[in-house]
Amino acid sequence: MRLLIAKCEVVYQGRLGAHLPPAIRLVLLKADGSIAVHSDTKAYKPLNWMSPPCEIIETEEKITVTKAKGERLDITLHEVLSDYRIDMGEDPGLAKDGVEAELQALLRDRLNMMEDGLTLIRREYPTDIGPVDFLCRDTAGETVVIEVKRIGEISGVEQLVRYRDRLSLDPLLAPLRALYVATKIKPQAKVLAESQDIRCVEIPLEKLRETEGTRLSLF
Amino acid sequence: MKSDTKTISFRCDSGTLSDSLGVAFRASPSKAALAAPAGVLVCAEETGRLVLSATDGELTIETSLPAEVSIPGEVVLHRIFGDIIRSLPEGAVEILVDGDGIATVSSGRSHFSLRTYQREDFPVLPKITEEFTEISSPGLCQKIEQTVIAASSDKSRPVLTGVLLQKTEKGTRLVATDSYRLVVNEIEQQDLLGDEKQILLSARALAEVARLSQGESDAIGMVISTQKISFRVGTTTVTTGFIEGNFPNYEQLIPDQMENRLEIEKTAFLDALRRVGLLARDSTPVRLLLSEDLVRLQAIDPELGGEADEEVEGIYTGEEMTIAFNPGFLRDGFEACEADKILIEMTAPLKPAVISEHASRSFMYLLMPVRV
Repeated sequence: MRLLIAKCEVVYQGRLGAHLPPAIRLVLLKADGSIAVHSDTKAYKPLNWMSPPCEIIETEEKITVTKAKGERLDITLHEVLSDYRIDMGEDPGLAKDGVEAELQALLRDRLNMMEDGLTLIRREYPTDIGPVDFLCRDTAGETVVIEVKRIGEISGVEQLVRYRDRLSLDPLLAPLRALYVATKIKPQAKVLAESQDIRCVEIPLEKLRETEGTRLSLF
Repeated sequence: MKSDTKTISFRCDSGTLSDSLGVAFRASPSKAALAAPAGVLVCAEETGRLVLSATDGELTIETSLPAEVSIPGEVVLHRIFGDIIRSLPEGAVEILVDGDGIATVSSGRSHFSLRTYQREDFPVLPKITEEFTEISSPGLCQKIEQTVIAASSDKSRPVLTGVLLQKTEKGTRLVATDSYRLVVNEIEQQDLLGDEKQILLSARALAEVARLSQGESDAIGMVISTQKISFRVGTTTVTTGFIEGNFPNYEQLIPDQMENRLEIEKTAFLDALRRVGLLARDSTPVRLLLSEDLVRLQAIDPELGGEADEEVEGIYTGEEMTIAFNPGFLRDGFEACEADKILIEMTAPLKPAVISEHASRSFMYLLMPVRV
């Protein structure tokens, strides 16, 4: 990672043109080959940027970034105030609260929170197209395939439809229905799920942690 | 990289150096953006000693060993220096650091070279100017090991990663909790805190002290200075800062009266728990079914469709009850007890249980049950 603070002028030429007059800005050059120009405002949003793959040519006075499609970013350096490089190593990834593994572990002992009367056949039930989070049976004896996500999006619904259709080919499991479970499901995902006869269940993580089967704590 | 590092030269036993590096590196960060802070500071002293220091900012370990020092000085070496030394055959190893900042390691037919880092790139180490007070080692280490098991490793709640040392009428009390279990451990007739009433320090640091003390016949030295505490075990010093924050009001958690009591043999119970626990995977609890005629351990795994059930010998007095626990936490509590006979006292299935040694309450392990 390189953090270059300089008084600079930026000209972008692409589908549209853009010009930033000389001012002190932060130029971020990352190990992945991307470059972004930031002001001291606008929070996380850069004023201008180029994603990889792009070619970066640097002289003492200018950084020129070009892409195959003809986009070009010229950063003229009037005065370099700080130029700091650091090897940040490999990022371990964002550890999020409520990740799916924790959700699944919590739901495993609380199937009734997804639907009353469910019994577990298997977690991570293998299919030709990947494992299903939960395969259960309902009170009527029907097989239920369940996909669990932290945030329910359209892609998750599409994934569940594929699993359901795949498993429906198995005469021992059919008839089959599907359940989509997440801490929060986006409206578009709900619409798609409904159109596919898939029931959506939203369970806030805090509720999961507090309820029956959760370890009680001393304080 | 050009460096103004002076030439340093010393020679020592590779095995002793490897062991000492292993001790020091327990304080270095496992992940660091820069190599130098994760390395080791090596000080070759005129007096014929090598002092190795590593730190992650919270814990600092400094250890020393004898060496033939031809040219004294100090240098920061990459963590891989430890791997190199460990790989060497038994015998002497020579280290030379030249004016270009390159360290050469020679032992028999093996030769390595690696660049060194500037002293300024290595963190500033805590200075200990006060005198150490000697405290007796055997009982303290056992108490530390019994206590640290209950501390949390979750850095988002730093207070719970610590052990509270508290002055009491009887001596010093050690307390640790991760919010699911709580250990209260009395060290009688030993005031460790001097002028301080209580301090909260890293469980990890205390665990290192206990580990270093195993096999050591010398007493442990301890010194409390401004916002930090240092322990000396043999030729190693462990320093850590106090943890800021309010420790939970643990005293109110200890139940006054517990009418339901189970007296049980430790080894037999642990054996039964181990067997029954085979079907207590992930977050599955084990249940203790208690009545005056029968004591049973039980685990049910819905995914496997399996169940484990075992009667255990024990003397139970109280009302019929089923209480469930995290099997790992239950095992920890039993293993921490030294005695053969263990007492579990309970009030109700959803209230904390207290595990202690039958003959003594100087060690108490409160364990919150699991709702089933």
